[in-house]
Amino acid sequence: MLILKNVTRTFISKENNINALEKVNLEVKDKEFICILGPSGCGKTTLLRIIAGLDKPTAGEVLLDDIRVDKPGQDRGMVFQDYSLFPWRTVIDNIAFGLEVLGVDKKERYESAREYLELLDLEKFENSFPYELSGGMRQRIAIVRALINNPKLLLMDEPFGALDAQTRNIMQAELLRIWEKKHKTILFVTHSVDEAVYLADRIVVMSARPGTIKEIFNIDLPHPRIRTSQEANLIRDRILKSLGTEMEHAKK
Amino acid sequence: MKSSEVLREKIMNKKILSILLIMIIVSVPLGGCIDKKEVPKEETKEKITLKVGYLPSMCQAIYVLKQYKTLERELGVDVVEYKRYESGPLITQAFAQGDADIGFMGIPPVMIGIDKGVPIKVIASTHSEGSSLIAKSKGYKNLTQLGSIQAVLKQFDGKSIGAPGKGSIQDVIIRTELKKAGVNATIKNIPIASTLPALLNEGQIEAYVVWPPFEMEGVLKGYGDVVIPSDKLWPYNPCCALVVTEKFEKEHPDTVQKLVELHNYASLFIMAHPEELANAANAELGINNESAMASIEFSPKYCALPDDRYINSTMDFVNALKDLGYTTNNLTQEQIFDLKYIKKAHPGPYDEPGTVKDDPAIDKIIKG
Amino acid sequence: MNARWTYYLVLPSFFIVIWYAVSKAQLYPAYIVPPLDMVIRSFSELVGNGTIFQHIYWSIVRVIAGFAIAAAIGIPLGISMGWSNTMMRLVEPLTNIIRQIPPIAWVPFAMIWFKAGVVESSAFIVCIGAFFPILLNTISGVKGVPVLFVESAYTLGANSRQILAKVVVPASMPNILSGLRIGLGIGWMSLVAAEMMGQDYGLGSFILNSSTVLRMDRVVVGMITIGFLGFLMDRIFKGLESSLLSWRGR
Repeated sequence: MLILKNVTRTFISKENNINALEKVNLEVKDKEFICILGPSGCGKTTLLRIIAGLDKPTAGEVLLDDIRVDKPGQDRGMVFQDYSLFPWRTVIDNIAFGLEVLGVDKKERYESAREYLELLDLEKFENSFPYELSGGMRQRIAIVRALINNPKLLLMDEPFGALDAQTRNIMQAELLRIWEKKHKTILFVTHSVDEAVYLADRIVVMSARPGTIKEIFNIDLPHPRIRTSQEANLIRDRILKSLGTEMEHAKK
Repeated sequence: MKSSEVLREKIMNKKILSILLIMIIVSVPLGGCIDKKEVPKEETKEKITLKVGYLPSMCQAIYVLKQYKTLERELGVDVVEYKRYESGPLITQAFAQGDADIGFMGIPPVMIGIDKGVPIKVIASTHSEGSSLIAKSKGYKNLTQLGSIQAVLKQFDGKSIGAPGKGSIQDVIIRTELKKAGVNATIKNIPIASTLPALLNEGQIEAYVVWPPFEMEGVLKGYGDVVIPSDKLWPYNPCCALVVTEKFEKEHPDTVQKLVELHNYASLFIMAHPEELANAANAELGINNESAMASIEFSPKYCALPDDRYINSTMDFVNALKDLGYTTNNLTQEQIFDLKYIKKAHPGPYDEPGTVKDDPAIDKIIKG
Repeated sequence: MNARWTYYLVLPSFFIVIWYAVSKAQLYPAYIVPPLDMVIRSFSELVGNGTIFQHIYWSIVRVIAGFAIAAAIGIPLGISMGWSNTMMRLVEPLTNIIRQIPPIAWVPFAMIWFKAGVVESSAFIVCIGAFFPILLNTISGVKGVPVLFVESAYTLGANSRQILAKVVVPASMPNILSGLRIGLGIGWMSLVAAEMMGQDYGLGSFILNSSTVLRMDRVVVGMITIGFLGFLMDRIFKGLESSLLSWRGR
């Protein structure tokens, strides 16, 4: 259970201060799939980083299961938009990294890693290096690398942003499959309304800078969702409208 | 598409190869034409530049001449350029490259140069002797105590002796003497000769031979004592000489004659007023006066005339150099010396140390 | 005619032809341009009596000693300077000044502090030459590690020490290895300075001693040997880099 209380973040610089986030309040229940949508510069990445512990709020706090978050940890795994696999490590060594730093011995951690490779159907690539893999494969492995530590929260910052449209759709389906299997709480930042509608239980629309939560949409559609169904279209329209006004603000 | 690319590459290759071929054909004769030493003779007024090379060693009249600007005043050339080289072989290289016209330097490097075909000649002497063997103060007996050079050298069996670079006089002398005495010692050729006293003090070498004033510097600082004085080590060895390139000699014989005359006066001047050399050397090299004066007193043979002893000693050197593998030919006296200038400038006999009197006329010429 | 290695041979052959032509035409005396046949003869003489191998042996020993010390100090120091701003601010001004001093200027000190003419003093000079490329490349490697990798590691539960060992160092390896290769090259080039302290054996001292007795043919043999061995070492190192860094792909 994740609680954001009045999270505010101001970047102070010589020229001017940037109020990235202003009093963000949010509650995330366990096993929820939440998408965060917003115009550019609305602070959604900043928000995610604060939850991850890579950044500290200027005011307010983040509580995970009633414990304050102020530094990174295994309980909050993160997948970045850029390819973040360690290029000098094989696939299996990448996946097992989280267990390795905990001191788990090689046999055990390789076993766990192989389980995940099976889940992804990528056992053949156990000893490959990241440079040998496609973008989609790399991101899948990055997701699994974060999951192996059994985090309470999986934070994803536009993880499919660098992929082409077709791969993106496939990856979204893959993600849902993993989510259904592993029952993780996921916070997913994206630009794409389509993506959010396809994936999320709830969609948080953020305002333009300074970022606050403008509106939250509940998506009650069952999985697997049909991207072009009527209900999906309706929701998409409402969200686009909500975003639309924010985009105007953001332009100014 | 691919074939046209390949064709273009082939044509490119042909162009490159043909350019290279032309370069080869053209550069061989061109090589012969490039001679940077050529001075265009059509100039109405020929500017004479004299390039002087010399060593940081005291046995050179050049320090006095340089200090008093005697050459600029009396020689009749337009420009005098002075350059100090760290060792004799470097001056030989300078001759080879055309960067020096005359040199004040040690004899073996001259002989090595002549052996290899460098066109230079010895035209006067600057100094005889000046290579004493200095050893650590404690533990070594000197020549007076032991009586023979062999006995003294035997003390250094299996030890290290420092000397300047390979091919310098001291290097040749010590190697030859060690060989004669049948002693097996390691010679460390240290290019920066001024560090030898310090190395002796540090214990890195047990003894050293070097040119003045560094032999006496070691003694005065208390690092070591003279175990074989230079007049016993190789009596009358031709320490340093005045050397000229055959080219300069051919082009300016009168200048060379005048130069030898001035050098002769300078030598007499030094022998009458040793403190002048000490001061001049001090001014340029920063050597303290004490070491300098001690050196001159210890080794005073500054006469400019190479007498028979000097010449014979030089010919001994020919064999020594050949033995050490530094030269390949048996050099003759004519190949090394050209003494007509000095004989004209100094018709009288060799000036033994202590016999030269003060001469105000000479003083005037030197000092101006 | 299109094989790659034929291109490598073109310029060297060109120079050899010119050299031969100049020697035959006797355009220059031996002490300015040593004739090609004299150089070849000296070379076979030195190979025949084995002296060249003694020279090579001693030079290699000195260079490896100096290089190893430079790496042993340079890599850890570089990592700490790249990782910690405090370290950088403390150490950088000093290294910037010392870096400007050419190795040859240290020779008089090397002679006094260590024994002149033994491995230590030469290794010292080589070390000075090799040190700065190693240090600077290591620093830039560490500084260039993408923040993305460091942050990923933090979110995967690694502490600072683990990140240094498991992320920063491997990520900097391309730069570190490159620095080592360049450092080795510069250390090798410092040989002539490193061996002007009265050594009897060593390629640098061989060149110096030959030049003082005007045996320029031997100087050329020495130069070619130094050049060729340096080239070989560089090649070997490049091969090492390739195999260690195969994860870079391409």
